[in-house]
Amino acid sequence: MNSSAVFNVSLVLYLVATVAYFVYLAFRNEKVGLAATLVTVVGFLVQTAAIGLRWRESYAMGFGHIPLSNMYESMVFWSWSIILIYLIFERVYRNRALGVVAAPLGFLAIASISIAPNISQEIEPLVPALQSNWLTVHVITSFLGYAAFTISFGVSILYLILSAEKRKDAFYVVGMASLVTMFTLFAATMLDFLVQKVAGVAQPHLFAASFASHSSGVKIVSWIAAVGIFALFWYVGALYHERLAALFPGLRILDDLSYKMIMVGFPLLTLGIVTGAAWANYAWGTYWSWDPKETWSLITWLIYAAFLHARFTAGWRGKSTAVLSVIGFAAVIFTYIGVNFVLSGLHSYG
Amino acid sequence: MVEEKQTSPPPADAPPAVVTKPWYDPLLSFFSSVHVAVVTLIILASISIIGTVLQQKNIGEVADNLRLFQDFFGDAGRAQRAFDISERIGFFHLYQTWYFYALLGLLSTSLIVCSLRRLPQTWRIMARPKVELEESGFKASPNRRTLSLRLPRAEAAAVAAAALKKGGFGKRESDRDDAFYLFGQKGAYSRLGIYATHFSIIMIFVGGLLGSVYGFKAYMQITEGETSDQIMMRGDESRMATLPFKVRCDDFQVDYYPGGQRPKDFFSTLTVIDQGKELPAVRIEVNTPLQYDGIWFYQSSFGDTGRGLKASIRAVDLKTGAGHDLSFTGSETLEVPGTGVRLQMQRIFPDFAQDEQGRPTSRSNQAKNPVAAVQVLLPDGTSKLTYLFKLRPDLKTVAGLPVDLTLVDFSSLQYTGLQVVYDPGVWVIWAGCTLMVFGLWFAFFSSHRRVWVRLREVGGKTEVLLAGNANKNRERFTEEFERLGDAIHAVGEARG
Ligand code: HEM
Repeated sequence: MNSSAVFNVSLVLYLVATVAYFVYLAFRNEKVGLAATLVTVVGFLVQTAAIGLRWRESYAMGFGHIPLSNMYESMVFWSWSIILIYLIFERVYRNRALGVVAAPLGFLAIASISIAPNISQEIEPLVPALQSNWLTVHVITSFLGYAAFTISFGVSILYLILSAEKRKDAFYVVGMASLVTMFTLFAATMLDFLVQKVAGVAQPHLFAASFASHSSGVKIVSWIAAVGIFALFWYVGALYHERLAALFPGLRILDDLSYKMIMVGFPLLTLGIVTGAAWANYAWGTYWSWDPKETWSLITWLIYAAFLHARFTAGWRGKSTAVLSVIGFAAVIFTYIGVNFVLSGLHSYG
Repeated sequence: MVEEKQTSPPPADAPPAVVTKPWYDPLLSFFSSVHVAVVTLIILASISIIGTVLQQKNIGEVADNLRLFQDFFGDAGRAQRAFDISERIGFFHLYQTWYFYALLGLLSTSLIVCSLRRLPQTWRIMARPKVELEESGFKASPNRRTLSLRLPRAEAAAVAAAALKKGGFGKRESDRDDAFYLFGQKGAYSRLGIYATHFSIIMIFVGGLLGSVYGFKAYMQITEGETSDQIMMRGDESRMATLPFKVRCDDFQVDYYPGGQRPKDFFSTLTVIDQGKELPAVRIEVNTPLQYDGIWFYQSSFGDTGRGLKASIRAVDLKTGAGHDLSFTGSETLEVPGTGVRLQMQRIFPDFAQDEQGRPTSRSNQAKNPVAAVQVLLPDGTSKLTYLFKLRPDLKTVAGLPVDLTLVDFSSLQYTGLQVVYDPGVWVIWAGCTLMVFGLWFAFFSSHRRVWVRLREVGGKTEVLLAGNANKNRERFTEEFERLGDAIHAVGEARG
């Protein structure tokens, strides 16, 4: 079996696990909870096997490198890291509540990269400078860190949404906006996929069937739809506020979980930046050159350092730190994706 | 932080302190304020963004920024003005501006002042804990428990002491007439984790400063077989410098991936010659540098010099099927044995292309698309010019020749491109990074756990008060605390 097919199996398992964790939270049924954990563990093992398989495939092609080198491989690893960190967390803290955040995030990461058009899933050879053990450690630690931040972000969104008393609460709006942004991005990717696979129209780039369409009509409709979804979520979320809140662990626990995840992510990101610097130093003798990717990873690091001080020493709690966690995650995403697409786009004057 | 206060209350009978604060106290307070620290971090993060949007000198093309401004303003005049202003306030070398350094300076000062201010108190908490548990302290403690043991006080104290020891707590005691006090703590060093982390940031700044003041970065090219000590300083390409020793490139090699287009790795064999003395040759490759006398040589690029061309042509006699390899090093004429056909090498194009008039030329000295132009002299006295493409052996520009020709090999002397770096601060940086990672580990994943015990005889039994706290990971400590209480209780019951 080829590795992509095996990835799809883990994808399905994470979807099942997502449903199971929700059922567990809704009914507080320990058996369902155990089943959710089991499915997640199996999904994780399958995904691990798929990564191993892909690694072997790369050797068969004569390239021979750990599958962490392009967008597709790193997204898969991101998903893997989210699930890994969550499973360790569940074991250490004997708390399954975060499953409803981690399992869908793990699912979304592989799902979106698997269906996105124009994302190469090919195994490619590495240029010489990228063949370094420092680089491998750098990618692994950075992504484990990113995964912890991702979970913290998910929990913080939940916190913002659930802690609001009123629909007009600015924090509630920020939380909903973050949730709807994620949802919309996934839906737009899905739409690209459907148009390409089902309607058979090749999509030249990401979101070509919606926000980045060449037809301004489609663009406008997409924006209206996005705003509509936001309005719906925003309205309905507040309507069922009590019932939603009853589903999830208490706010104090959410706040603490978000902080704990950043405590895990921060040392990992630190290690990631340090090993990245070590790699650069081995490759060309410069540990730090202020290139945009490096600088953005430093910005991310500074934001989380600010989070830790605000929370631990200045005594911020709850909503304000949750917003910092959301901002920190936005910086993570920008470091990972935005630098390549947005910043290099700014300077691509052929 | 609240718990700290409760463990070291001011002695009730001390005279009220009359302290006049020194004039610089507001400055100290400013620098050690965590609010100032958070704001500094946020400002640093925000300002850094500018340097990622605008191209920076030495990394990108500063001229690109003008086009960026034009796209943004849609007006050439305003774009030019924005460009000039940005240039004047240093936005194109943001990370070397005085204000960026000033922010780093503020951060460092803040870190030093804050650490020095807090260290004495942290030290007191670690080294001179308050041993005796008071009633108020007990009541305020997040974890507390009261046991009653049917044992004499001394024996009950022994039981508690044994339990503390078994739990890994270092113990102190105090024996008073009315009560016996025990105190146990572990993981006190975890309080130093943050100091290590903060100090490591200073180390990294110092390391960076050392490198930029005393170090240099340069580039050098050496052709195979040649020796050089000339380096080109980075950032000022016209400035050459001379190394205190010479380096010879004995050999250069490239490995390609299957398919032959994409380099997999490249290697140089280098010999250092210091004052006429040759050191053993070292083979370096990408990611594996050479170090001599504190100067590092990194394999960074390579290319063809266009000199010392060698081409090898395989000629197959179409009548007999016999094949011959002919090697050319210049424009000599060689005969294909047994055919009467002679080949004259006209010209070799390492990177073949056609110019505007359609004439063949070479775009560069890099062997990207090697092509040989060969004059084929036939036995009947006529001749034909043919082009042989190394990458397209199937492509024949002339038909009807009695021999089949292919360009099988092509090379010219190559040069190796080396980054040359001297950075005396780099070890300070790595020491700082290591310290930071360990510091964070201790700060986050270990905790200072303390337990206080007071034993007092009450009506023939011993009343045991237990209190405890941890500065991190409190849920887990609560479980540990409960287990400790259970253990004392169980032993006490068994003996009593
Ligand atoms: C990039 C710079 C900095 C980094 C990476 C950093 C890192 C940290 C970390 C990881 C913690 C532990 C937080 C926690 O346990 O949740 C901490 C605590 C702290 N930091 Fe920083 N810090 C930085 C700058 C500063 C500065 C400039 C100050 C000066 C005011 C400062 C003052 C403090 C204080 C007072 C604490 C609490 C220490 C305690 O537990 O008593 N930090 N820092």
